[in-house]
Amino acid sequence: MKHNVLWQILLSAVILLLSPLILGLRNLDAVQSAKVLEMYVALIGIILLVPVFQPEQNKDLRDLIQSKYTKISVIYSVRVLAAICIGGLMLLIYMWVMKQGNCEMETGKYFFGVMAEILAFGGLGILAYSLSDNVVIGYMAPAVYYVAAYGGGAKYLKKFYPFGMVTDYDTKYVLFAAGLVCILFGIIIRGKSRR
Amino acid sequence: MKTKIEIQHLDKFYGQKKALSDVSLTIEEGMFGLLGRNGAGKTTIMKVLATLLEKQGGSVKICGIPVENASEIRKITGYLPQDFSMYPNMSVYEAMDYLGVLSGLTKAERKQRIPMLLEKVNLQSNYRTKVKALSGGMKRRLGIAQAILHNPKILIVDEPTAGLDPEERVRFRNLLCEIADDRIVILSTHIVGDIEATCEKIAVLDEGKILFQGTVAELLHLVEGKVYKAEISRHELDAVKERFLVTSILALGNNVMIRLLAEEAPFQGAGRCEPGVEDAYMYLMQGRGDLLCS
Amino acid sequence: MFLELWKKECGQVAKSLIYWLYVIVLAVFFVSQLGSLKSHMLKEPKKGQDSYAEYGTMQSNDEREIMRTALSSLAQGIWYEDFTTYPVGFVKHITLSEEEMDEIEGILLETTGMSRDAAGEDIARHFQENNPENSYVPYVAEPKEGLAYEDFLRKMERVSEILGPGSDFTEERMKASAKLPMDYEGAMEAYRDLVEKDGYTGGYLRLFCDYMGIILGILPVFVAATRILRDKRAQMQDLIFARKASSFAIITSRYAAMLCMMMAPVMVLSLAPVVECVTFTKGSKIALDYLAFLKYDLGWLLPTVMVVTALGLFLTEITESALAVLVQGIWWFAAISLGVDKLHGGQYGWNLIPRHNTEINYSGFANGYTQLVYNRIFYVILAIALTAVTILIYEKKRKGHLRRRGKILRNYKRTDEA
Repeated sequence: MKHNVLWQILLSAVILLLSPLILGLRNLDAVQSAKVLEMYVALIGIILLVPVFQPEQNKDLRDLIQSKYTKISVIYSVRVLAAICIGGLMLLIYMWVMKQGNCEMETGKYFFGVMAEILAFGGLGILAYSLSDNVVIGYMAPAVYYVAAYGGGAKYLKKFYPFGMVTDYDTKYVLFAAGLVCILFGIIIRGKSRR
Repeated sequence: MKTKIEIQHLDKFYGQKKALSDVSLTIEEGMFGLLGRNGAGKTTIMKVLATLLEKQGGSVKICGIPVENASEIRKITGYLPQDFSMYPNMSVYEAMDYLGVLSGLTKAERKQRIPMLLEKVNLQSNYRTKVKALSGGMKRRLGIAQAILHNPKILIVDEPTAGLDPEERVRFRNLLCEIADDRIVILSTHIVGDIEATCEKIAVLDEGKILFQGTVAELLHLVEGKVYKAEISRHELDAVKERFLVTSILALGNNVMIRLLAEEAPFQGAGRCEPGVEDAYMYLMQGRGDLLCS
Repeated sequence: MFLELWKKECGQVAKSLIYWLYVIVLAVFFVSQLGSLKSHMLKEPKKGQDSYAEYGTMQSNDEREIMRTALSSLAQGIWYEDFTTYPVGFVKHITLSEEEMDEIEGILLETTGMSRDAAGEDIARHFQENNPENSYVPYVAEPKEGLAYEDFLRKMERVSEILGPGSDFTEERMKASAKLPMDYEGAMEAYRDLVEKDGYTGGYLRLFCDYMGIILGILPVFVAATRILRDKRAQMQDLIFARKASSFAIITSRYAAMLCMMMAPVMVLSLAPVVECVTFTKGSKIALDYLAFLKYDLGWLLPTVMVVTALGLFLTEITESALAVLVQGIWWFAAISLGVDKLHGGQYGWNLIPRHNTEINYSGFANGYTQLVYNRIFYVILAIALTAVTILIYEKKRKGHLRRRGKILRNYKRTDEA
């Protein structure tokens, strides 16, 4: 499993490491910290989670794996869990760096908020991937979601607005639940897929 | 220009590994077989001929045209790869049409040739069937149809019968023979039966080198008088295998019927018999590592 | 052959799920952002209106005012030792080295006559007199007597160099901070520009291009990536490679087909604002520019679509993975963030997605026009270059280079490793 996840971790790490060049990570107040976290860092959810089905993209390979002892949905779940943990770890490190730079934030609240977003973005992508059997569409769904939110989507998205850390924290609970549901359905559908 | 393929001193490397070493072949009209085990270099030769791989040394000419002249060569060659596959959601007719456009056929030409070819390969009732719904044999037949779509002089077929059931295999071989009428059909395989049934001339390849080149008759001549048949008991088998090259084993209750190669009668009860291509092949491959079975 | 191939490719695109998702997203985005323009359409301004805000704001060209605003910001920044910049729309706090700080303090001295400590005293005095708890009165620093405007500009340029991009001390920002509300004359001028120079539709089409540019800066990559990956998934490459069709014909027909299919819905949607304009101005004497939509669709939006698609083709062909999506995502993010403070238009720079979030500001458009043209031509050339490289790569692959051995691709497990 290790060699499947490597490039995603690398890419996520790269975009996080590059961020101090363009964003400032020092002396941010609570609102600005939230903005950085939920509009930028949460994107690693897309990178880490969406490609979860890709190693078994080849249909013959899928059939082969499905005939083995371990159920394929267990394999997927393990991968997703690992990705979420890695994402959480990266987030913690990033938040720690921000704290060192004297940024204001409510650690617990923000951590949960961003994790909820990671689940939501990633989950949406996983579900899209499993329904369409196409990893590009898997990336497209959360990307469109992000663009919609960016372009003033609070009106339309209401409780599903992903950038509500400061304005409407309830959205985070909705996102968390929705994300879990998407991931669950995504794995189930893919596991049963005979395509 | 006469239909002929001339390969001289062909070399091909994959990095450090030498895939083809000083291969020289002359192929003329009719069915030509390339026999060898997996990794012998058959696919490599085929791909060089189809302009899908660049050679490193030597010269390859098809009907007098050097293989570097890719666009000209592609007009006169048709290729059916080993792992043949098409867009799964296209219908048979759509797939043929698309490939026809890629081959430079006009609409009129496509309209005329596609139905004709699909009939030839017995897929005329499958115009609308989606590619993903085709059986293995049907797919292969579609593969042949697309390969001769633009009426090429050379047809290159890589492991065509691998994975087909015996009935389909026979049908496919017959189809190939029909097509070979005024063309060169090069067929690569590790299934000896394919060669026996269809080819007049063959070449045996191993580890990138040509072990034999000529007619099937000449191949058989190599082991003339050296093939014996015997029925022995099962527990004698291992001992026999150690002393002689056994080319086939057939279980008969408690005994086994074997064929083996020997310079002279190996033991009591062994009778001489007509050599088959398999025997000759095994003979050539003697001492060259793992042997294959058909 | 090219024409036939192009037709086939258009058919392929039209049958793919991702294309229709593209169309749907495009349409939904359009409706949500530009929904009904009717309620926004500008009428001729009348004398004595309460506010002319919908006609924009006016730049204050009062040099003194501009200097005052900028120097106040400088003084406070020095005293509190905190400068903020917005390089990509996210706030960034700048820390300066000792030399840099010294230099900036020197500039403050030259422009206001105040040293750092003097500035501190001045600020403290101001806030004692005007307690911010009661009502916030901004601090104002007076420029030195006899300070020439050009001199001031030069010094501020130096400050913005030190602070880096997105600071308050660039000429645009300083001018922008000194703005006045629109008056009747200004409004009339803006309206006249819209009617006479823009043919009324032009203004709204610019607005259309502004919004649609946002989504077109990323959406095409999905369509491009999917198309190329499809060949890989179907493992059809050898079949196609062995055929007569040249790499040039194959790649360009695919590219052209994708461009046509993707621009088609855009052009259809662009007719909506034109129709709204027609209905709105019915009966009036306004001469509409009916063909403006062609100019804007092809001149403003097409280059964006061209380069995003070409990049998608190139990256997908060379990596045989969905990397193009992520790369484009990053580019899109950067382009949007960089444009965040240039929404009003006129400052197009080299941005992939030039912004002009208003139907007026024709003067800004006129001023920035040359830059915009260069910008768009640049991206067209880039798109063509990327396509050319893609053709070369494809040709190399065809000859057997750049291919990975084995039937299953890198990202996918090999059957024997499973």
